[in-house]
Amino acid sequence: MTNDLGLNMSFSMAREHAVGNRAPRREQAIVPAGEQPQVAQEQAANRESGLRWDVEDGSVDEGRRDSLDMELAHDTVAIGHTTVITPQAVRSPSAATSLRQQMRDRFVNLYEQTYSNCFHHNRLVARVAEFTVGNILSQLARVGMSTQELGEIRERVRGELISQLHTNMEQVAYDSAMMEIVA
Amino acid sequence: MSKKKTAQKKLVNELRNQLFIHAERLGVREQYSPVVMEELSQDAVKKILTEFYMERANIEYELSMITSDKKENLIKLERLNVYIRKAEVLLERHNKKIEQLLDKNVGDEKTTLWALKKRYQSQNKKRIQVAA
Repeated sequence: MTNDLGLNMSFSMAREHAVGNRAPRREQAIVPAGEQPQVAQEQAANRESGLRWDVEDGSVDEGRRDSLDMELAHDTVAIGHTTVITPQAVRSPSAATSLRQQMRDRFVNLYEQTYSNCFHHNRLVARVAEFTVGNILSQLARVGMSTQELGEIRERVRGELISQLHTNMEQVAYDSAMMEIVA
Repeated sequence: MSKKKTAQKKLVNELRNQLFIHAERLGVREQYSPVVMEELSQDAVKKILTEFYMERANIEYELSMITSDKKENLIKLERLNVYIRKAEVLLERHNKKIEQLLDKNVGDEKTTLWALKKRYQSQNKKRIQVAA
């Protein structure tokens, strides 16, 4: 599953999501140690905190399932004949937050690049950049970026461009002078 | 002027024009007035001149060593002296041009002085009236 910008968003949304407000099921967390690997995986789907892992058959890729099993195996502790599942196994909120953060960073980088291209000397490049900036702005608004932050980014990019322009002017003056002297 | 030199000059001019367009889009075109551009060139020439002086000192030091190749170093030194002379002439030219541009901006000296005097007198009168 990919979005408009080609980001792969399928890894967490398609097969696992947390469902809140479930009654605690403490008795299901304690199982005999003999059935540990298979049962632990089943129990991992129903959490003590009320969160549940939903797995859709057929759409789960094997690599991800293995890694999930590994995570769950680390989060279980065998005591005699019982297995207790620790609450650290529930990770879906942090995954969603990190995904949002990743998308935000990516869009911010894209916005900086495109905004700097808006001042390009080539008119076509500048026009395309202007069009793209509007597109990225809508994506950033969806991610939850405020206008104040956007303004700060614009100011920063503009400052960098002006300093870069000054450096380039100095370089051109240096080259010109050197040519006049040496050539 | 050789073809190569003409092409190089064209390239530099093209680069400068592109930078001017860039500056215009950023809204800082007025920062790069002719005086400022001359000052940039002047700074560049000063920088080049400093590098040449350093190089000359190095070559002179090498000449003083017994094991150095005297002939080669002398040729280098001679060429460097020519460049230094050229750079000094260029620096003087830039200085004169800056002075000319500044004079042009000021306009006629007598008229400017008269206008300034008149302005300050009227300001002083106003201050006196306010104080009274």
